[in-house]
Amino acid sequence: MSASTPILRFDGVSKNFADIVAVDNVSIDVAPGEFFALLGPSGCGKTTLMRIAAGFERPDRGRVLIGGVDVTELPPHRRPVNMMFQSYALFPHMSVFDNIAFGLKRDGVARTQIAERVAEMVRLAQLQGLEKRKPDQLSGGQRQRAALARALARRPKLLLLDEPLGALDRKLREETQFELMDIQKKLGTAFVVVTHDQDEAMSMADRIALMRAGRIEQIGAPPQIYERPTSRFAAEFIGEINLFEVRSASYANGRAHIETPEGAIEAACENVDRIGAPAIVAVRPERLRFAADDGGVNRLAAVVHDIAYRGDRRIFRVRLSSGKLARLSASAAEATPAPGAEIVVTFDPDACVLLDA
Amino acid sequence: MSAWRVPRLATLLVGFAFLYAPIVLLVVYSFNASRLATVWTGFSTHWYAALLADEQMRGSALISLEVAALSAAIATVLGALAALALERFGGFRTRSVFVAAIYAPLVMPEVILGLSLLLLFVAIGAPRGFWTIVAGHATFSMCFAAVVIRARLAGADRSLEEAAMDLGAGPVATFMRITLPLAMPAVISAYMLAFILSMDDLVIASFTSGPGATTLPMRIYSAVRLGVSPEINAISSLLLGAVGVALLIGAVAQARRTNAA
Amino acid sequence: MPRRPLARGARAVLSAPYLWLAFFFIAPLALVAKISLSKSVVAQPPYAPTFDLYAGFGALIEAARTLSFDAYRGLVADPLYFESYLTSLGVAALSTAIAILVAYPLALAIVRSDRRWRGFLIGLAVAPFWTSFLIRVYAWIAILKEEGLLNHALMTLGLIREPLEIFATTMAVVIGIVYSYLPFVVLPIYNALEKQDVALREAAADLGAGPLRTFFSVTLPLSASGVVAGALLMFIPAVGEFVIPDLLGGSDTMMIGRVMWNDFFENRDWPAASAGAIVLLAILVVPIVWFERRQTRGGAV
Repeated sequence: MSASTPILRFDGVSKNFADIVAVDNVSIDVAPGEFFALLGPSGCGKTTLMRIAAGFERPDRGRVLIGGVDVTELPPHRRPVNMMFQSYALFPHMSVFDNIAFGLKRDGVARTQIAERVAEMVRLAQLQGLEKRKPDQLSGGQRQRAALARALARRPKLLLLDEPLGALDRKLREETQFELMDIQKKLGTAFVVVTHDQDEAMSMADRIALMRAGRIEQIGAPPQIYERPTSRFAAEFIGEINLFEVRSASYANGRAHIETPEGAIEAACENVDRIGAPAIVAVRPERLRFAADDGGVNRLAAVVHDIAYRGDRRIFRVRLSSGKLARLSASAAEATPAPGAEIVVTFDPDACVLLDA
Repeated sequence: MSAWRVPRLATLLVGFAFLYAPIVLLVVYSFNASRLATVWTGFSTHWYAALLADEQMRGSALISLEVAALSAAIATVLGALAALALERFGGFRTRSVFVAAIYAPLVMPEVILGLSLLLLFVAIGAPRGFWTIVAGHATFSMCFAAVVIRARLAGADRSLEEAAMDLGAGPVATFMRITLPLAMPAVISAYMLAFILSMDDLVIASFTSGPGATTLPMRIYSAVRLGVSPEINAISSLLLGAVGVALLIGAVAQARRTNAA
Repeated sequence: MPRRPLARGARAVLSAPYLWLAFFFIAPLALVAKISLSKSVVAQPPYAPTFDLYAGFGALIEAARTLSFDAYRGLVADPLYFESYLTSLGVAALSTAIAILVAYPLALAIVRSDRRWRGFLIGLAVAPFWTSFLIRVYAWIAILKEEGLLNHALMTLGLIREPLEIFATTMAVVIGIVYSYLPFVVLPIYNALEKQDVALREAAADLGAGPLRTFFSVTLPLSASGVVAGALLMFIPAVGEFVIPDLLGGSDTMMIGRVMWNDFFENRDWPAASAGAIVLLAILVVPIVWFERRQTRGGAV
């Protein structure tokens, strides 16, 4: 296996359940050691795709390769991957030790080595002193770490994690994100995480595959997906965004001049083809700001509607001349107009992304 | 997993054949022309006609139906009250005695229940007959009824009752308007169960009955002891048919409710 | 749970079933215990001393003095009782073991069937419970008799020359008990299997366990509670079974239910039958207590 061989490859994979298309011709390569996230709303096919990788579902079409080997026809217990289940699926009648040792025993690892490896996993997952407990004697976070330790005990090159933080409360979730990233770096194992939580995907993953209705919507690094979404769905699914309807547009000097119901907008634009087609202009709330003087382009008159306090930031909802509400996110240190104040909002041309409507 | 399809279907086939073959054979041979209940000699409804003419059988069937209807009614009311007490009153003194008295008859050998009831009726000098059978049947079927209704109450959303009380309903109104209607499917199941248990029972009826009150199972039992007879096959088939129809109606009603929900 | 006096309304609700059970269940059992300590006489009722509620406390003490352990002594001295207890326990244990071996694969096959069929199939497996016990046992007489359907079929097929002697043997009783109680065993096993999270099996497969290993290390141990419940639900009433040994068994299958029935109706030895019942109850309390403790231990963890 050369360094460039993907650890996991979906090659034109499709899967139907009765007449529902769960996965539709998906091709993805995951590199060794990569932290990869399958992100999407529920029912988008991300869990089915992961279960196809683990061998619990058989694809109708396409192939699955693990480390360059076609495993499409292999049953789950013969595949060199492990999975951390959303419900953790810890065996309730076995101790933490026995749970972690389960896969090692199946591999025929010698007893002393099993003890060593379990001890190593217990340290890694910070479960010291809990080896003899049964799963229902553990806290939620401990259960999560025990499930992770069990899945990692066989030293798989690829670990699949189904909503790994889904069952944890908010505070614990954030801590655990960093723990997962630490462990992933330390072991160099490729992680494929299924999640519906965009924050989780953005903060942990090297790359994200955004899925919708069984198809891949966009694949890219988190900043790329956030800053340069390639579709309206991608723009709206991740983070907040303001959308302006394009009435007409012309193109000159690398700039698009766009008429919208809210006023004229100038957008930096490499993609000339889009101009004229029904389209929208997307701008992130943090790229909007209150205009300090009279200069510059992209000046939209507005009235402050209300303000949501978020500690480090404030989210302003402003009513534009068309009656549409736009969001503006400003750090708490900035000057803050009161609700009802007449203001002008502005943004840079390169903050704009042109998308199909 | 498809590899297990064949063994799974084979298991189902063998299992259900074991469960239903004896019943099917029993019904088939009720239409046998011959008195020899094991050799097929031709189709006949002769034994059903003979059955209808048998006045003793008819009388016993009537007694059994009356005992079942009455004892099931008593059992359902008492069982519902017991279920309510167990599920809604929390802890009370001698609760464990009460719980034991509810659950013990479910598994206790019928011979012991029957024997103890007979001793009671002798001790208090009660004339044995119709009413002592009703009392005996009500006693053990109320325990089954209590368990069935209690399961339903345990699964019910307490907040509905709390909402009713919050809106000004007293305990009685809450029970009549909220708890009881919601538990109704279980109450009906409990009545059906109690009815069938009573219709089925041989041992307790034998201990508690007296002259003139011979239930259908008692009549069948004394006939069966003399050997296999197509007339018994015929009455058995009729009883099986009645239960089958009742189960079918229940299943259809259940399916309708599930679909509607 | 807190133990507190109940409100008046609640007490009224409770008192109806409570008093009914006290009168028709608890008092009769006390009476059985009392009569088991009486002497058998030829009279109506056939035991002495009789219980006179109106004679007052002094008479009660007097009666207590005449209590006799004759019935229990008779029980020990009579090999019939001792043997029939052993036979009952043995037949019930064997039947229960066979029933589990039959019921487990059936329950498993139902649970692993398509979700749309599962409800129907378990309904079908439990449905015979609703039909008459007596009729189902009767159906087996026609099958197992010497000139019955089974022998007839086997001889027609040429598989045997001489009819099998199953009817009126212990084997017939075991078949009858397994058949009659099968729904009681299938249902709790089905419930235990049905509750199991599919992800547990998937996790075992994911960790390298093949189907057999998964079954023995995950599926089976996690359904143990259902197996135990089903076994108990069947074993306890089967020990005291009367109808099945009476109709299918021969003279060598003297189970305790039958012995008590005979003592009661034919020998009219009420104290002996009562003592037999008390001893049977004492024997049956053992598995119940064991089960209770197992349950509470499981719940405490």
